[in-house]
Amino acid sequence: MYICLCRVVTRKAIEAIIQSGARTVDEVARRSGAGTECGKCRRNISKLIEINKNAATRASLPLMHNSN
Amino acid sequence: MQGSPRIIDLLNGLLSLELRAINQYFLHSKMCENWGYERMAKTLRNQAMAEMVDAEEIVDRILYMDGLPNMQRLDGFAVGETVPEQLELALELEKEAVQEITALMAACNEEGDTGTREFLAPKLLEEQDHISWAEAQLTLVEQIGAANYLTQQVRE
Repeated sequence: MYICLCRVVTRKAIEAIIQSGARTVDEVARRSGAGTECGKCRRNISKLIEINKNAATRASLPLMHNSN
Repeated sequence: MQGSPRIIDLLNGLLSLELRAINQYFLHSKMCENWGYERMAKTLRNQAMAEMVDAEEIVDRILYMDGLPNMQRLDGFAVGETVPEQLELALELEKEAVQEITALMAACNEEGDTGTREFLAPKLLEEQDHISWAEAQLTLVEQIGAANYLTQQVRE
């Protein structure tokens, strides 16, 4: 799915960047351009970083699972 | 009628969600149309229009309570690259809507705003219908396979 609509960056691309070591939204932004225009996807990028911290949950969690 | 600032604020939050829903359903509809899934495109377009009516009703309610509807705040949303992905995103969005409306109704009880709570009740049921629809589509995809399901989406 597309996460950053302004720069057309997919979840797959962002997760690849996270798996190769990126740990912050800024780092993902630097490497992909995602989150560098309107900025609305930055919260979702942050959630993807959280999800990918634990490799076991990576595949199963939906993007916007309620973490409130 | 002067409404509670807290309730007006929460209604504006719900309005932001509805505006996001309009755009998500509309874009997904157009993508389906571009891919040739005319039946799904029509269903999603109708969904977008229904969300527009919802948004309008919330705008009316906020104005009635002497608040200012915030029509310029829209959270980011993800866009599905395939029809099943779009259905998953629809389900997530509708679940979020039910959570938000439920919390809003609880806040109305705390503030003694029975009118807004009654206003929200049909919306809650409508969003639960949307959840039901999305879940049914995903069940079909799982049981008959994406390709078979998509064949059904090409025309009425």
